[in-house]
This record gives sequence, structure tokens and C-alpha cells, in this order.
Amino acid sequence: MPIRVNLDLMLIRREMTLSELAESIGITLANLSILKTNKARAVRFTTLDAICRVLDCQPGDLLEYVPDDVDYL
Amino acid sequence: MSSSQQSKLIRVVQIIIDVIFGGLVFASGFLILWIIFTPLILKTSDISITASIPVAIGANDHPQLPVEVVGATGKGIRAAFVSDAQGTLQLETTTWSYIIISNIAKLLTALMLAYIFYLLRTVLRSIRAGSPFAPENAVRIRRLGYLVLLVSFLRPTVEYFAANEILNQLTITSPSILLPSPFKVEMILISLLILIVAQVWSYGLELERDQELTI
Repeated sequence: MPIRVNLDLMLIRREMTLSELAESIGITLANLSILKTNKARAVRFTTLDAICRVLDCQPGDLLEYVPDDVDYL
Repeated sequence: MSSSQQSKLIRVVQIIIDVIFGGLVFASGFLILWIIFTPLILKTSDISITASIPVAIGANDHPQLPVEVVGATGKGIRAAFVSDAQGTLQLETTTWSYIIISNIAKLLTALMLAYIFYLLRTVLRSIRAGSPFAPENAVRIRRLGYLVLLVSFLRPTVEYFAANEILNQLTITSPSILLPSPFKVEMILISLLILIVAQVWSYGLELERDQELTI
């Protein structure tokens, strides 16, 4: 998947845990974990809006385009 | 239709399928025992057993001999005939090979139908359990389609060769007996429809995955 979700990075920057974020935006920890581990196939605008509001960031801070042929370490 | 009505309908269908499945398993077991023990029964007793094979009545090409129906009356009807006369040739025989050959197609069909109904049972169970779009169901339905296709080809083919084998060993003067019609188009159409449903099911499965993985 060429779109990478940098949620873990943003959580570290904001010194917040995944559970705290899940509680703040009203999404289950399991679903947020799917997003964090890049297993999600799509993200709703409402979810993105809630995450950006709580983490005080832009969608571009969370999502990154990585071409398939680039090895990501 | 409400969900409780749907649930009841599925339950009724499942009971019907369970009964048919049980009947097919019983029939398969009976046929296997029948095939195994027929030579023994014929060797130890003086009885004759009926071997039946599907045949058609005809002259040159299959089946061409129209049979006139005597006494058919009605407005504007001058005569009535039965054509495409197909039926079963029943042989009272003491030769066990005829009985085995005539039962092979039935046994194969019963076994495959039993497996088809087993697959149907598992699909229905998963629907009742609330997970119709399980990945296994797409595989099961596709397998069902291929099996129905196989049955529609295999049964007439085996019956054809079985009838051919028996008819070659017989001398029949009248009426002329022909081999059965080999294929049924309806069954092939049904199997193609099932394969299309399997494809749609796979797409539904993909949509459900998309839905589940949309956060």
C-alpha cells in the first residue's frame, strides 16, 4: 500500500497513547490499531477530522505517500 | 421480509437440505453395499435382479420413432403421437456385471449430490451464524458450481457408456433401442448461474472487507 499512516509518530510527538486517542475521538482501540498498523483500506473524513482535531495536526502530517518500489525501513 | 421471517425460512431450508443430505448418504451407502454384495447374492441363490439402464426407443437416429396415441380426441386434433420416447430398460438378470454397470452412474451421482448438499449445509450454517460473507463460502459456492457442472456431464456420460456396454451384449429385435440422450442443457445453465453467484459472492466478500477496514 503506497499510503503510509504516521499515526504512531504523531502520538509520540503529542506524548499521547493510542488508548487515550481512541477514547478522545470515540473510536474503538481495535479500529485505531488497524489504522496505526497500516492495515486500513480507507479512512473516513470524519475520522480524519477527529484525529486531526485531537492531535492538532494536518491530514498531511498523518498520511504519507510512499511509492511501492521504495523500501521503507 | 423481516429478519425473523428470513431466519425461519433459512431454518426450514436447512431442515429440508439436512433431510435430503441424510437420504443421499443413506442411498450412497446402500448402493455401495448393493454393488459389493450383488455377486454374492446371485452366486448363492437362484433369484434374478433387475438391472435398469436409461434408453430411448427409435429407428435410425435418436429418438425417431413416434408412438401413436390411440383414442386422443379434442378440438381440431386429428392424431396424437409421443416422440422422443425415452425410458428405462429393465432387465431381469442373473448376471452381476449388468447390475454393477447399471448402478455405477447412480452411485457416482448420489456421492456427488451428497457432497453438493453437504456444501449447501455448511453455507447455510454460516449464514445462520451471521457470517455469510466468510471467505470459505465463496470457495464453497464456486465448488458447488463446478460440482453441478461435473454432475451434469458425468452422469449422462457414465449412463451412456454403461447403457452402451450392456446393449452391446444384448440382442434386441423389437423395438429398436437407442442410447440415452447424453447431456441436459438445463443443468449446465444452472451450474453456470451458480458460478456467477460465486463470483458475486466473492465481490460481496471484498466489499465487506473494505467496509470492515474502513476506519
